[in-house]
Amino acid sequence: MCCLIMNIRTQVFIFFLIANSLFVFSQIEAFVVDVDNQPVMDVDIFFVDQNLLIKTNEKGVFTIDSNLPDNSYLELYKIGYKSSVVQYKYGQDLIIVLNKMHVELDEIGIQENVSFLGNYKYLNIEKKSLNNNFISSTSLVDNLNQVSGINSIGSGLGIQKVVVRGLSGLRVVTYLNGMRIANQEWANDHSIGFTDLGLEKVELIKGASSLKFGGDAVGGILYFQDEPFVKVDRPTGFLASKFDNSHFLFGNQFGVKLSKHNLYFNLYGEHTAASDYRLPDTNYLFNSRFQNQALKFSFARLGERLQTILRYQYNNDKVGIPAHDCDGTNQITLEEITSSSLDLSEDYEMTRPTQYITNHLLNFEAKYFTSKIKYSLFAGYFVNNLQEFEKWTIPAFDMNLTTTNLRLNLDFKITELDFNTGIQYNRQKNSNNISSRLIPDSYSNDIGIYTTIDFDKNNFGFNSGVRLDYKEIICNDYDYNQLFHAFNSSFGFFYKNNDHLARLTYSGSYRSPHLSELFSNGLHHGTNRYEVGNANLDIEKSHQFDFKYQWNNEHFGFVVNPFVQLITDFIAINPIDSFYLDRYRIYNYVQYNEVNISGVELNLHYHPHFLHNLHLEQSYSYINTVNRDDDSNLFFTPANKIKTKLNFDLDIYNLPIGLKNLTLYHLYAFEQKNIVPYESASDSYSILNADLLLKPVVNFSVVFGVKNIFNKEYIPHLSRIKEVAGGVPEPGRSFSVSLKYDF
Amino acid sequence: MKNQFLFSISLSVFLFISCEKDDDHHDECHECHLAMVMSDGTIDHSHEIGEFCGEDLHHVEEHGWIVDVAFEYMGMTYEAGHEFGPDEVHCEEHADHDH
Repeated sequence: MCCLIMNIRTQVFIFFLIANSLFVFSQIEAFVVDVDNQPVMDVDIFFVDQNLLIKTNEKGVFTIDSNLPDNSYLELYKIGYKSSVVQYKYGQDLIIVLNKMHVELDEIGIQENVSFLGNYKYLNIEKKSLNNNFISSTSLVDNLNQVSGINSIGSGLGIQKVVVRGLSGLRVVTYLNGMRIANQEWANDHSIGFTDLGLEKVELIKGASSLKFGGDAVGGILYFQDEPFVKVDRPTGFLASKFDNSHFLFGNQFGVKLSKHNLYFNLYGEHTAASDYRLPDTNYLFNSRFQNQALKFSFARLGERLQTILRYQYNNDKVGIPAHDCDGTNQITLEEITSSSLDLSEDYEMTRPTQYITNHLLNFEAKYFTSKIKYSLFAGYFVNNLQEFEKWTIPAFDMNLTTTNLRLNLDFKITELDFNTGIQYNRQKNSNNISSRLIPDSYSNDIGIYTTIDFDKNNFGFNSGVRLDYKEIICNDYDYNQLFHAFNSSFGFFYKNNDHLARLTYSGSYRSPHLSELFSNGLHHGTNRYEVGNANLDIEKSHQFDFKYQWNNEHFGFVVNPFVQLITDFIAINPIDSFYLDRYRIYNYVQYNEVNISGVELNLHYHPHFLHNLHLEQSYSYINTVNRDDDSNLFFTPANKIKTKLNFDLDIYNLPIGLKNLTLYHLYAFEQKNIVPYESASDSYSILNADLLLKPVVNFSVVFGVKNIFNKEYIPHLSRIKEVAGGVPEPGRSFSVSLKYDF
Repeated sequence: MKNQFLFSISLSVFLFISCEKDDDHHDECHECHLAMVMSDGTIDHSHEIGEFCGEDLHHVEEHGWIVDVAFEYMGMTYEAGHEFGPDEVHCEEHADHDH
């Protein structure tokens, strides 16, 4: 018996010894060094397929589980070095050399990276980090606005939506962790629908593109990605707060990350409350206030071959619609829609008109790896409830828009060719909760299949792809049942010669009419319009050519990016000379035969050799839109812009109170006189912002910011309240302070 | 470290929850006025019809307002029983601080 017990104990001991040995030996060490063979510490190692982030230690070492699937991508990034992408193969020596490079402008795409939207070498994919966006930027959209060719429609910080090369709304498709965000985005007063909470980065395609993510993206795609999971032996996270006196905005965020074995968990929350914003003349724009609450979590099991991620996100917005004109005539004065002071006991409260927006997003991702193929399954469900009140007790409309997404994707390689193929199903259903309605109950089903092929060898590569879509739209109220189908294709090639890179891309895209464009029939208080849909609308088709040439060395980067886009059967909403209730102008949906959009974007990044810690990034964007039907322009064509950012890294000077970084941002917007009837021209303006980052103690960051330093009174051409009261200016000079504690 | 973590989480949850506020307006009171079309086609908003609360507010917003005592305004006479529709009754606030 005793021997038996000993035997069992011995067996248990041996079992644990072997298990631990296996655990020890199941870790593969990899090294990151510079060109002088010196170890590089604190390099971010991002396991792309696993959405997992680790860092190198002081010896430049990081460990990889030996069961990491072959062909997994590792993205290595450290400021001051050229980023690198490595494809993992079991058994290979992992010594990765990072080259020094001080030109780090992620927007101009001169770094190696892996993109969710496709291969950056063939497609015009740009990335922007959103890490620390909460403390370093006034809003998510304001940060995106710094990218050339990107603008925003809005009024203050409460309502903001992204414009890509002059197109917005339904033509700019937004994805959040693979899930399409459909939040009644057809209207200019319906904002982006989520905040920067827990976001790591955004990928952006300008113009028609992305076979993988479907039609509709005639203007572009925004793909937001959450922060990665981290392998930690104790819980980590952050607490952050900010105050911005332009809106008297108070915001708080928290985040927690946990991991154990191959299980990972991220949790985030946010609450923000803002009052009315202050104009340069020190008056306050009444009802520009807003509130936001958000909660999100993600849970992952990253196994040997099977990886699964479950995400949930809740977002609640209460947004005042400022510059409200009861009469709908835009004849009111600025005095009637502003206050000369704020009453902080009242002016955070929601008044009227107001939007109440509640979003729930649930999605599930699974990836299965074999030695040859990577299978990806995505399933997502998104519920958007939008209530718009002008009266206190009766909503003008109250709609639920539900979106279901299913996607199965296969990645595999045959000789030198990378194949990506899949099938996608999307169902959208609009249902009204009250009898008063703007869009009737209706639904759509969309199924698409696609294949892309990439070839990359000896500094030359090409990409080609096709996609076939069938979409049915059904509205029983109007006895409408229509099937749309479209065939899309794209191709691109690049050639690299030393520091020179050239790329040409053609991309086709289509967009079937949206429920709102087909069936709208009602008063929309948010835009002071009576909107009338058109059930005869047909598919809108787009063809775009995009050329990019870039050159960079260690200290200088330069990009020139001309493009031309031809859109046929362009769907537009036009005002007519009739009024509803004698007050609200009627807008009809129409279709133009042909629209041309062309332009060029230039980017440069200069970093003087004698001052390695100074970076100058500058971009210029030019855009021209033509409606060929009558040789007029398109409504809301953005003004041309020069955006300049000066970043001075103070870290090396060891200054007191932990001064780390000074950033100056200057925007010059040209005048815009290319307008349509009922649209006013806009003047040129320039604004200057500054941010100062301090790290007075370990793990604690403070950012002081000043926006619109010279208190310039300006009205962006894309301001949604430009036509009210002769134009309502954007916020005047404002100060902000943000705090973040990492634990 | 554990205490620090728990403290941070507690503070986060407190901040998150403490900012919650009920936003149901059904028990509130608001001043309402009429949007009256003048003879020259302009719309006048200066004729107040009083404060309405709770169900009364809901009723006037849903069904409009009936004149109980005849009144004259801007040269027009509105007899008792004259009906102003829900689109002619406005109870939303406008900027009014100190101008």
